[in-house]
Amino acid sequence: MDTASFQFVLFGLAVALVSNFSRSRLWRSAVLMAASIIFLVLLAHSLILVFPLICFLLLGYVGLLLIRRCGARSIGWTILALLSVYVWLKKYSFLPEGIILHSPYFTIGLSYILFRVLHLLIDSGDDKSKTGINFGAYLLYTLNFTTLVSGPIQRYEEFARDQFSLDPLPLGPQVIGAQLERIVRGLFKVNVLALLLHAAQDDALARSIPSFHLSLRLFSIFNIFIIYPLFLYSNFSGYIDIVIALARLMRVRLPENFNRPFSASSFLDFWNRWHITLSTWLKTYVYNPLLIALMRWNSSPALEPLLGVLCFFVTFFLVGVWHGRTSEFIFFGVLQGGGVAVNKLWQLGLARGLGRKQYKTLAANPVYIALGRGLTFSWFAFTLLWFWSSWIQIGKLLHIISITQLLVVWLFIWFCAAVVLSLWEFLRSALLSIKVDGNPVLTHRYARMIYASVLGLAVFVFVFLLNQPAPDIVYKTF
Amino acid sequence: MQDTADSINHAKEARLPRRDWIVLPMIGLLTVCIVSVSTELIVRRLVPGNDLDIPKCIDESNRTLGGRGIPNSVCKGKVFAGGSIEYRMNSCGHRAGMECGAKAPESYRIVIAGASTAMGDRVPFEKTIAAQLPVELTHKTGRRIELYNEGMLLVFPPALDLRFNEVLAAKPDLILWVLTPYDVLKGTTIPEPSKIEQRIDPSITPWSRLKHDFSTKSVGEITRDLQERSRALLLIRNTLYAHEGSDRYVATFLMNADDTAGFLKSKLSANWQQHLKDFAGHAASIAAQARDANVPLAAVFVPDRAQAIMISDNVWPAGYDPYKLDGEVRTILSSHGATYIDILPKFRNLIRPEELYFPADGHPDAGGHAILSELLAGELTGGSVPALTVAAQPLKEMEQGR
Repeated sequence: MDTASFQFVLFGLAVALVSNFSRSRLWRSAVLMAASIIFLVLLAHSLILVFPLICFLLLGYVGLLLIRRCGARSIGWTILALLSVYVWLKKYSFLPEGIILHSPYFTIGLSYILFRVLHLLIDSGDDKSKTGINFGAYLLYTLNFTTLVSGPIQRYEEFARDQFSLDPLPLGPQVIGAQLERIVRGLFKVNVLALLLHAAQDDALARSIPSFHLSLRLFSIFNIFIIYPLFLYSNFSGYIDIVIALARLMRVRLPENFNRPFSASSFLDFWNRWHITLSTWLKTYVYNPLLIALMRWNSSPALEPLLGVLCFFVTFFLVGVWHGRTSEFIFFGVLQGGGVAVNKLWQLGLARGLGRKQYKTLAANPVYIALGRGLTFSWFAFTLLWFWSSWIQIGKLLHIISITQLLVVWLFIWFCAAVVLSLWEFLRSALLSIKVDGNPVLTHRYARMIYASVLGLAVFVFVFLLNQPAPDIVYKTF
Repeated sequence: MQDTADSINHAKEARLPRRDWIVLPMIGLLTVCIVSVSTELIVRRLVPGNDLDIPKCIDESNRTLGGRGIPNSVCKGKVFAGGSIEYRMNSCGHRAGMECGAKAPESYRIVIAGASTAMGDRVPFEKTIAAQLPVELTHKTGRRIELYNEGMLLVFPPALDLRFNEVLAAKPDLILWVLTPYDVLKGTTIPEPSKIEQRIDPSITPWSRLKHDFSTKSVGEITRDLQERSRALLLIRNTLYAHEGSDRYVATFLMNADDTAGFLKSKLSANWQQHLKDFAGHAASIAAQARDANVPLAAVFVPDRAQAIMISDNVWPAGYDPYKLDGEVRTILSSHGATYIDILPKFRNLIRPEELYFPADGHPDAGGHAILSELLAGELTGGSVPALTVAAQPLKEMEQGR
């Protein structure tokens, strides 16, 4: 059973159905636990392969017990131990070959488990209730099959609020309908849209050959850059749509992970809309503590904004580094952190140069927003090169076109993205402005039924009639 | 829209009007019907399908003997992804590009036998192996090489076995049997009329065909037929296969049933072993007939699209082997004294061999026929067939030939 497949959805729906046989929190928790274990075994194919993951989970729980017994002073050592084991299990490329575990084992979901466990460990220093979590609740939270593979990264208190509530969330026909629609939308994104975009990128890559005419090569490079962000969005947000809907059918609200990221008018804004739970986690546990620590170290008000910039760089550098184990991802982190830091410096510089009021006026200007949107998209598309390719592939790419030509392509992407995304925003608002009884026609349940039926038909055609397997969920491997 | 959908989670849920329990499913059903039918109609209007009127030039009614060209007939039309095509049959009913009869004096005649790939299905004659190979061979050997094509639709090994006398009647100096994995699959028995693709009479309206289908076929059969006949699906499939990465195409192809993809497994299924056994029987009979007539028989195995990709990329999943069937066929044919021309290893040097095939249809296209001709010419003159070996030809004679 692969993630985001039709079988996964059927499994999730079956679990949701059984879970709703009783509103009792014990029953719902037992069903979720059984489903999560079954899911893990189905995914890993063998219990032995899951053994390192189980040890990692146990280590996290032992850390919690240690903090309960010894207090906050043991947090640092516990986190260090947990991170070391994580790095070892993930086989980071800087580790010496001799200490790597060579026998195959299952690591899918390990990163997301790490985030959840770290959140429990760090918070347990301030919030004693977290050290009191029993082992069952801990396992349920960390192994929850709807968030295991690729998130979203949910906070424990949010999970516990819904999962262990005596009065679970309501689940009527409208909610069920909305979740089914969201599942169809997710399946469409993963199985149709991502599949087509993946094919288009494969095609563009195949056509980026040095012997081709320059215009064809430039067009291929243009396609390679613009398609991947769209593919990644369809692939990841489609999966997230499915799991959020499945969890809601089990009366648990998962946090949103995307909020129309390509509408972002700045790179800072983009990271508030893309993989929201990851950036929020890092802001909470890296940005804030780091900024506080730096400000304690240097309390000069003049330096304060620059310290903020530095903290932004570190935080988003870690976002990049988290994605992989090779030097490409370190550079990806530098570009993410650099992008956010430069964006913050730009904002500070403009605010200082123009004055706050004029800066606000400029920031609200539609042309400025459109250019910002285009720049954000083109920068993200450019940085993703280090996300999906290797240095060798990048070298080959630079063999096809020169740096200057690459710059021209990038400027063209900026321009096109600014125009296309603005048109899209305009069209969207125009369509949503058509209202009946005060509500947009397009969000009426009849309109949404039509929309879901069309998407469902496309999924049926691709999955069942054309027998096309969807590309793997990219974030599954992190 | 997402915002509104999700806000329902949090707001107090309003009651769904009772009529919506009927209206909503009806809207869904109606949408699916309208979208499917209108998409199919639009695609049919915009994209040319197969309007090649095969019955005008090929009689496919005799399933035992396979297709038979109608003497002096021509069928023209457009085929999906192949453009305009003409099948012109000579007075003997062969798409040979020449009249039947005795070979030209001092020429060396090769007769091609086989099914659709040999005939050059969907490829203009001048671009088929039959047209290109003699040019290549004449160029390489300096001899006048004549190639007479008796390849015909549905002439799978059982049919060829029965009508091999027709191949011998063309008085060949060499018989070149063009084989594909499909020939081994169809080496078992004569296909039942209901199981093989029926030509669609263009005069019958889709509606009356649908009515006829519903009265005579099961739902499963109708669904499969619709899948095969839908031009929208064909268009999507063709576009996807043409653009997606080779690794994805192979992964998709390997998901097919054993009949379609089983020949690529390193351990052939019982069904495929039976197909091979039956193929071996027909191959033995065909080789014996050639031997009795004292005509050398050479056979070439043309790889399937997925097989060609696996060989070119030199990557395949565990449990698969793109050379497996080729090896089995070589053993069978060699044991019966036929010359086996192994072109599969040459596919290792080809970049993007998937572009040599019609993506959805799977037959080699014009580019594929050109490459096959080149590979065949290289092998035939490289020592596989002594009479065509370049080293054996006097240099002077070669120069004269040019």
